[in-house]
Amino acid sequence: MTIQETAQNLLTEKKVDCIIGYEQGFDDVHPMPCIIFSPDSVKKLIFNSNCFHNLSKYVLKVRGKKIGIFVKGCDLFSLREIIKEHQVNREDLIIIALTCDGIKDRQAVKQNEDKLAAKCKHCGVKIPKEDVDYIIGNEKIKQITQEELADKELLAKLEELEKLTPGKRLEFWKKQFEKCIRCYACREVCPACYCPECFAECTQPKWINTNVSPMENIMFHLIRTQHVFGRCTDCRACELACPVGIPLSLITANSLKMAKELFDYVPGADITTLPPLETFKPGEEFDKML
Amino acid sequence: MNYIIEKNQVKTLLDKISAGYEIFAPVLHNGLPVFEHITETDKVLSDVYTVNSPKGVVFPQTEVLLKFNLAKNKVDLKELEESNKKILIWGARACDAVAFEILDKLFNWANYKDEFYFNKRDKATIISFSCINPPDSCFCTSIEKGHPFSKQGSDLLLTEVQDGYYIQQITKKGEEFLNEIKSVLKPASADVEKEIEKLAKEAENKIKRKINTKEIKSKLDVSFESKYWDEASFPCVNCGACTYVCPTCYCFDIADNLAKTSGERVKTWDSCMFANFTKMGGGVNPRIDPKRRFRQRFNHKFKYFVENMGEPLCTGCGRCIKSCPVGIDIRKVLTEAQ
Repeated sequence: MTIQETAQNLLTEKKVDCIIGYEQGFDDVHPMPCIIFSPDSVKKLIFNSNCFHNLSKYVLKVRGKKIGIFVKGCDLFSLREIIKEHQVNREDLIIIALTCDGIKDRQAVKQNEDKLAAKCKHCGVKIPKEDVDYIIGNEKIKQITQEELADKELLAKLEELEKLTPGKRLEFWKKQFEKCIRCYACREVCPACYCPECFAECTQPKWINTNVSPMENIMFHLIRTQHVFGRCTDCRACELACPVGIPLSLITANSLKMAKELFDYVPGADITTLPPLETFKPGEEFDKML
Repeated sequence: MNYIIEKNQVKTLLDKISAGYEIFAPVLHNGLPVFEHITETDKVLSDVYTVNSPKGVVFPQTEVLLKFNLAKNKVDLKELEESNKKILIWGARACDAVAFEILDKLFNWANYKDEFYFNKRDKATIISFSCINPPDSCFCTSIEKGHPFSKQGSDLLLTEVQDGYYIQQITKKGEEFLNEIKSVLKPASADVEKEIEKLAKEAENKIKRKINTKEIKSKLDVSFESKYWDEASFPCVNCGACTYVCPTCYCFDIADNLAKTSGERVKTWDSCMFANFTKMGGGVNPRIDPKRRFRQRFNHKFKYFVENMGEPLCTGCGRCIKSCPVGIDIRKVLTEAQ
């Protein structure tokens, strides 16, 4: 079945109230997330290698409704975390998985180049099968080998950063974050960031200032990183959203690595295991958390 | 007399005037061109489309208004140090310069002149570049003052021609600046002016997507309560990227940042996309949901501002379209409003 037919059936049979998917944006390489309520609108649904957005967070915009949602493998990881955190009931969702052979690198797209996004070169979930209701697309996509799963280039970069003295490391991050304009696009697209009031907006007490300066910007990103630790699935939505190109994947990849090393946990890998910082097992070493 | 500056002379020009000017220009950061205060003139780019607009040069994202010390039973105000250097904005787009005209009007409105804005604005010389190849996101020709070769707001307008950048002098300030840098320029032949006219016409024709601002205003007049905004605002994640890269968005917030015995009062940009933007002291928020905040941005730009100032708060630069993390297109949102 095509994405249109699937959506058409679900809406006509009233299995869902709405469908969250992609539509064409201002040109071919800029698709947009969209929501449709009527079977007449299904023809505008699309999916192609430019559909980089992680749609999972949009379920929070229509809480309480029966939702049909299109997800790529990486988005499904985020959606599982959202379900585990009881932000949406699994029974209210019809999850339509899209097989995906990778999305295009956004920077390259802007320069009219054809290049696969870095994260997609190491994707182990091109054909998401677990916890989904439908699978659409080519199920014969060539899977990558176990060897290719790790992004060696990125891991090497992380190691390099770790070897730096704390002072030098701070210098590196200051350089990165001095360009941050605090538009909070990273937070707003993040499926793990859904606090009704973000600490950055809280005025009583005031945790951080609205001043834009390297240290103040770092404070924001540091706190946000800790808030999403163990829940961040390294989907890279934040990095893709950043208008000034801050390499946030260095942070999210590190977060994923630490969750694995410290707690043997892979965020979003299944729909039952609870995030490490939301549980406490008797006998667990407490110092791991600090 | 008309002049041309050769491309390899840009560094010489900037070095020549750097003693008397704070220079703001595009440089690459993580592969993206951004406007910033520069100290190394060899890194300066000229004819590029920056992520952010140069509005922050005269209306900084964070600006300290005053500093104070708290002593027993008294408050000491500290003088702020003002740089006595002039300001040079190098490499603005023609549309960015148009934005300065709009902001000038706004910050000098209803008998109030914003001294913090004009302290910097009066010292600034704006050198813009015209657009020979405007990108797909541009729609400056839909705005009255807008044009890829618009002279509005610029002191000098530079256009890429075969031998370098052809300089059109627009204001008195531009003339004075030209006199300072004459030694690095070379005279242009008389027929360049004709070529510029041709290039301008061609550039204008390259901008295919247009919006009708008058029609939009009348649609916005009646669509406030429309269900349209529910669907149109759905993809919006309510980040502030569009408003912060915009050359005309001017909303700001003032806050006191306190330490134990000292503090500062700062003005920082604010965005109508943020939940806190209209939150009152008592906790009430008239724009409680993302839809209302989304609707506000378009209405402010193409309805309220038109009613108050006689023109839209937009120059058609298309930065919001390019920076939107979900690909929202202001032209589409406005055209389809009903």
